[in-house]
Amino acid sequence: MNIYEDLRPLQSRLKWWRIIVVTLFVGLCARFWQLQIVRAPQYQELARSNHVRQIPENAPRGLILDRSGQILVENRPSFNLRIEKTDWDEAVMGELLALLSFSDSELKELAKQRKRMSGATPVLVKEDIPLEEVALVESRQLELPGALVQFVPRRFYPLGTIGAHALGYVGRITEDQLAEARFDGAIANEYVGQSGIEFGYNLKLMGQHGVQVVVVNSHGRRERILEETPPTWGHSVQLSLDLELQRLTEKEFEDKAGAVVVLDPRNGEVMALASSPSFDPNIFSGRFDADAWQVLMNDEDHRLQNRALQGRYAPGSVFKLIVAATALEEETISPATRFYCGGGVRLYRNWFPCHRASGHGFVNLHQALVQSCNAYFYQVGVELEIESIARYARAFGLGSPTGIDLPFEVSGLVPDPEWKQRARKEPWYAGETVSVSVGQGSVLVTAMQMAQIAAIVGSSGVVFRPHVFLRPLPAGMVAEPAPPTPVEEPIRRVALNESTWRALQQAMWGVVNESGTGWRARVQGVAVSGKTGTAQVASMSNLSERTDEDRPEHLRNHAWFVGYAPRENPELALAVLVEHGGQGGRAAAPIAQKIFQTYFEGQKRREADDTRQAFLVRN
Amino acid sequence: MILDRRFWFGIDWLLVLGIFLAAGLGVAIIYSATQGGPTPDYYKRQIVWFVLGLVLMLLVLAIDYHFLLDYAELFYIAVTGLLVYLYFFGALRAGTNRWLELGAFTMHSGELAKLAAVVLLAKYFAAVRKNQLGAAEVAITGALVGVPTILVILQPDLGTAVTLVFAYAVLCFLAGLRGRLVLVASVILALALPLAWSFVLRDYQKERVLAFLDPNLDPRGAGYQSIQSTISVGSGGLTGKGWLKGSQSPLQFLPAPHTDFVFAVIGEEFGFVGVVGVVLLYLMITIRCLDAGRRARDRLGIYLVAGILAMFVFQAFYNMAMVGGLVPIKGFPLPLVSYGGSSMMTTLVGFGLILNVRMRCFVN
Repeated sequence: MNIYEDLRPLQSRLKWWRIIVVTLFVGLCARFWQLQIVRAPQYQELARSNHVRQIPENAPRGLILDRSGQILVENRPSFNLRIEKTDWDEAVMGELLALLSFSDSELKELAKQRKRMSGATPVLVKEDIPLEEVALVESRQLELPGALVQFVPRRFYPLGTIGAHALGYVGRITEDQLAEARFDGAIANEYVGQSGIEFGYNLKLMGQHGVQVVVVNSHGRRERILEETPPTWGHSVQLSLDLELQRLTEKEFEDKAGAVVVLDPRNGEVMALASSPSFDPNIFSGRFDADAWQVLMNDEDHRLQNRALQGRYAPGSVFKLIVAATALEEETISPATRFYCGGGVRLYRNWFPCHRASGHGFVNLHQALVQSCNAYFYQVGVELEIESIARYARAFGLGSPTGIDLPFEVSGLVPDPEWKQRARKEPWYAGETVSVSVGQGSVLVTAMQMAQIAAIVGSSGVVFRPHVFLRPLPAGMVAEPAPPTPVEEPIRRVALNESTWRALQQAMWGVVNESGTGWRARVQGVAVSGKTGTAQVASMSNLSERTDEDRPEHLRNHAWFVGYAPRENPELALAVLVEHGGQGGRAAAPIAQKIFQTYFEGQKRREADDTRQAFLVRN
Repeated sequence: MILDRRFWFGIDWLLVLGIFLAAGLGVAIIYSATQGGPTPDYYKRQIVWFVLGLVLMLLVLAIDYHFLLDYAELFYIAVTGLLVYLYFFGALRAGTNRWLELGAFTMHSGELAKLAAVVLLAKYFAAVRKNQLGAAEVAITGALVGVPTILVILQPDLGTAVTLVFAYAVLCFLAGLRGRLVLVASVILALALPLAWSFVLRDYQKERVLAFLDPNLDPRGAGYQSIQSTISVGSGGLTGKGWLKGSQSPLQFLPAPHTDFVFAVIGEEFGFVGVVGVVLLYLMITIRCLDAGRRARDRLGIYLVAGILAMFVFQAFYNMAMVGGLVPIKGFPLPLVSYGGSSMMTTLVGFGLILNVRMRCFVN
């Protein structure tokens, strides 16, 4: 070893090291200053969003019960598969697509979801997944980071089609609806009321959503819960609907189209509201099924339409009640005034036929209403101003919605010259007043309005706002039977002379009980009053077949029956409409008969029960 | 060998303190990074590696480095032979055959290769008694370092290869490289880079380079590690979330938190303060080693210190720069801190040699 080695060149080169290393390390510190001091808030947020997930917990909607506390609408447990946007990964998506089965409509929906994926909203991959798919996903947590099976209470209609139009249905909230006040507090992809009670009382039924703040690891596995706000149930709602009556009504309409409204004239409570054909609201609350949707949307029967509130029909002879009231009040006729019916009458050089070709002979008002003589009312109509008829029609609630607490009710139409000038740019012809006098022409009414007319006549002019909602119940609780009847105040009165009411009521009693057109509505032991109507669908002159039964079904007349019972202090008023049913007395009156009979039998039973109860309590 | 009393005072206690601090910090971080995971007892094993490494360091210390370097060629040939053997017969572990299996233990062959190559280089450079390197010397030393370098590239272990080439370049610079040669070397390198891109680099390596250039190209794939590493460090802020309080590693967002990305855990749990502390610690170790080089009594000592220190500084700097998102992801440990027996023991043997040089600076 040479001890005289000259080490100086090496040592001087070594000095460069110190400078280089210090420079590099200072540079390193500068980089970490940038990361940890300057950008720290940004990275802290990233680290947090890495592992903190807010999982909404959907609140169950409140139950919907009938007047005796039977469940009409409830919830069932279901599972949705979601992916957080932060965990979005095409590979995971591909695996999910391979693992689970998707229908075409679900794939389309998924593509839509992905397109409008925004920062806060997780992507709903598949809704209402079957239990075996829940198990598939849960057991593959490691391979499917971010895939989250979420428990969601889902609306369930145990009765299927029964009462569907009154109850309504729920559907996924749309972008526009998210901004509406009636859906306040709803979250994306939530199911909210879209029609019926579900829509009208949506805010009451909706609960308060909860949220679970959880820590997840890089595989999306939940490690622990940081905080949790449990969801609260929505308020339950008790309806005035009587399930027994509702069920019976819909059974009567099994193979017919039409509508029925049954209400209590003493307070406006709607006991039954049916529209046929009906639909199963479960279709809308379950897994999205475009095919089922398409069928309903393109349905020629218009199942989704609530015919009781939205169907507009000519009132036919039922309108004679209003014409009679007008003529009596205006003193154009007295109850004793007679007109001759010779199977029709010639007016303004036109022949206006009566439904009985052989004619009714000389008839007074009572006989004309009981027999539903057209010739009588044609001749009354000639003497009346159309404006007067319109005024009384409006007083009875026609031409405007009744104000029932269900959405999308229509007004119908009470024609007058002003309307005709506005709508058709034509003057009013005297002959039209004649048509209107028997409920034809341009008059359009809803079944709801017709039931209201029955209630108004039955109670001599007292008008209540019809309603389906009875009272709210505490969240999640089931009511005891026999709820206390809330006191309802009449919203207005139809002011007619007492004698006019008496004449109308006697005539309606006669229609059912004096071998009138409505005899098929007669119930043993109950004083049923009513009025039949037969609304023409096509104008007579265009028809080759003289009798209604010979025509093809879609050209047959609509059948009406409106009525109330008992005669004094009526408890039940109704309107029955059978589309293309033919004559009101034949098609509609028997259905009304069943409803009256069922109601009053049920009442007798309830009274007997109460007496026995009272007896037992006393002893 | 007689242990002179002066040896005791010749030991650089400050350097030893630095080594203990770094290793102790390593054990604490490994503990934090593995809690709740599948290997919660790794910190204990790291202590064992450290103690074993200290024993090896003491053995190396006890023997004069001149005597030890008599066996440099033998060591080099043995390690090269091992690399060849592993290339043909080595068991694949994690996609590479760099691991030498010794019963229950596995040894990282690249660590041995680095030590063997750098020791032999130091010995060869010391034998060159000129202040400037000639082309012949560059060619011979290039071949000496080239053989193990190519063998580790084949494993494939690019990180170890780059470390070796870096140490070689440093030694060449120290030995005195003519400007012309630097120029030629640069041209060769410039030509080699695109060739290396298409022929040498594997797909995953290319992906890593591309992911480094833009981590968001593939946030779930190659760019993932880089993104999560900067998130870990950045979220630490000034003082960090506290020991055991990090979220990135226990929730498995941060990959390899106890090995390659141990520095990210330091950044997250101890913040900027901790990062600067560790940088200063490495700076102190470096400066103490340079001091040992300055005091070395002969060229062999200087080259030995320089070669070992070059590898140490390169690895430490690269690892920290990688965690900071400054350089592409490479499988480097942070020496003394990262979990791993091979790295810990070869690093400590290296420090044993450096301490050895300093300790014997007065001995003739």
